[in-house]
Amino acid sequence: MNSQSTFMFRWLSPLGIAATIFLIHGLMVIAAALAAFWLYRRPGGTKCYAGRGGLILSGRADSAFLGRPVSEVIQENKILTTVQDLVMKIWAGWWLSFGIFEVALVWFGVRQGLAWAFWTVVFSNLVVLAGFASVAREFIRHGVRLGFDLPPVALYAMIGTPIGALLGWMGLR
Amino acid sequence: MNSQPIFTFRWLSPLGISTALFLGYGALNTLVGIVIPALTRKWGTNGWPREVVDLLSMLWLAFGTFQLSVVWFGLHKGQAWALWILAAADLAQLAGWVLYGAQAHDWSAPQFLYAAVFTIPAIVLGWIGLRM
Repeated sequence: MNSQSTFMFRWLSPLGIAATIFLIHGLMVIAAALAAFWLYRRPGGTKCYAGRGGLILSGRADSAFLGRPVSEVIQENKILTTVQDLVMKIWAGWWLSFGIFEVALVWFGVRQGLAWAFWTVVFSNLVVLAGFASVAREFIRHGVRLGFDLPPVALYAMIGTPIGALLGWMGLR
Repeated sequence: MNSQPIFTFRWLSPLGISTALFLGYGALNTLVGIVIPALTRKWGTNGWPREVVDLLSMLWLAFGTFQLSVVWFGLHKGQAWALWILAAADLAQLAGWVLYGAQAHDWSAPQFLYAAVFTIPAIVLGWIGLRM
């Protein structure tokens, strides 16, 4: 920790740009999680919103995956909508904690030049991206052609994480 | 950061026990995130879509990684900001379980109980420990 005392952080540096990329991602995740908490605060949120947003990736991709419009599946399957309502609450809590960790580690760690904070942020983003890759692979295996069907936070992470990791690695060197 | 040079960490102190509880919860989540995808591939997902299980597992693993890092490199070194990050993140996650419990009328889900049992005492003990 004492080796950081002379560290000078600048936003317009490779590490500064990497910090900005991850800070924006963390704030997006927090906003998405708070929106999910609000939208699914009462039972029935899935019936209202999942027809457009989908159950897993997007309305379009999920419909192609299930072989029929996801809105029809939701209307017919009451158990599914109840379970999804519950899962969204748990899901939103996890995402909110992810966003809090990411923003806080960038703010208190990466800005101080702490390598462990930076690599924790990168690794955690890669882990979640691996989860989305597993989902996408399953969709593709079922013949679904994916476009911009990932949630915006995942699309941003897909592009931002490698760029941020490279810039941060350069900056920390 | 410069105000920390005389800090000495002891496991048998409120801060030490808080650190151990946070570490335990982080380790549990990391373990669940690693083990569940492997187990569900062997034994099935009990009706859950595999994609959802994988994604949730990766989120557990990410949470566990964040938690272990912040505890080890932050709280273990006596950094107050680490405790407030851990408190905010763990309570956010717990809030999801509380909303789930309120709708499902189920307050005995193992993950909810683990979250409550580990994080609330850890936050209180950490707060006491940092004030001492």
